[in-house]
Amino acid sequence: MIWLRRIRYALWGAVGIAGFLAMAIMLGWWTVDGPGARAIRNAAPASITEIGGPFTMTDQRGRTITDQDIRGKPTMMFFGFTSCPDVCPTTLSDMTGWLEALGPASEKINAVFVSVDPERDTVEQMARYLSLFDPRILGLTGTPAQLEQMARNYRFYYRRVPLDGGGYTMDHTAMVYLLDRDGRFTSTIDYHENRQTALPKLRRLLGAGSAG
Amino acid sequence: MTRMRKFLFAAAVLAVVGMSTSGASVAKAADRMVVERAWTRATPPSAKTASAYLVLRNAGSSDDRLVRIESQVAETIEVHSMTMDGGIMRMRRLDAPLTIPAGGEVRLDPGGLHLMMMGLKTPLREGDRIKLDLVFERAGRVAVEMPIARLGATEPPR
Repeated sequence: MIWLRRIRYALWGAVGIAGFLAMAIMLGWWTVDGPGARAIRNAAPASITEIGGPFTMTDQRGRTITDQDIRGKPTMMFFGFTSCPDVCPTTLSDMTGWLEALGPASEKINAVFVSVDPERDTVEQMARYLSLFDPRILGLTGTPAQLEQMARNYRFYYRRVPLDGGGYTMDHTAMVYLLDRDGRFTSTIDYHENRQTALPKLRRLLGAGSAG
Repeated sequence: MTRMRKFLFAAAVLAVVGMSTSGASVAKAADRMVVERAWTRATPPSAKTASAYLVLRNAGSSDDRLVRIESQVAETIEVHSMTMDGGIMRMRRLDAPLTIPAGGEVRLDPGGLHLMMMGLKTPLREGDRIKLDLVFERAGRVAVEMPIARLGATEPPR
């Protein structure tokens, strides 16, 4: 009888351990790869040298654009989507204003708008949207995988958020990145940063670009 | 959750209707809401969303709440917040109706609270005007007409 009881205890013990392991594995999967995983793509990068790298996207004229195409000139880069009601049109108008204010020097800088909404922002949609701003602004869109690769390398965040009654909006990084002529991250221009501080940053970037 | 919200909303509407028909709280002259600086921006050709801004000044002697916004221009209009956190922009619907304190004001400006117009029937064209009805718990229905500024504007048109 005592043997039977021991076997029973041992079996229950095994069930307990198996259950614990199963739960641990489930929990691990849930928080790392599963629905509990955070969509955040490193919003606060550990080091600025980690920002940058390869990407392959399509511009508003249907041309393939890679990181190599924007080398040789410093770049201001902004992330958003065409159905964004506030921060995106405001920042693109700011960019348009900065390009105007830079005068002839504006030819020596890339202005890039990266869509974080590949589902709605087709090449045609990007072309229509960007026709409302400075024609020098290069609009990039791509497949979800291309965007994901770029977001990983450039450490920007985006997430789709459903709205009531259908439709969705996007949470996204909303600062302007400044990259040097070698594609290295140097600093940012924040939303609502005024022209008095934004323009000197761009001039500094241009100066460093021609000297280096 | 949405069922709960719908229920609460229906209950609130019934309460308001009930009170006003019983004559207990017919919008008095004191329950006045002044709307100022209302404006919106032009939208790109196929946009389905737009935001609008205004200042609500409660000239009444009790707090008031914005319970509903109606318009022909969009299917749904809600009050949303916009926040910037670590360079990340987020927009969310307010969990509770916007409250305007007695004698106080609430500003809806770019970069903060805004009216989120979803399911736009037609794009908004610069220079045109749109009409909205704001429905308050106490002040009742307030009609608002707002000008459409250029796309990317950060202030109302002059």
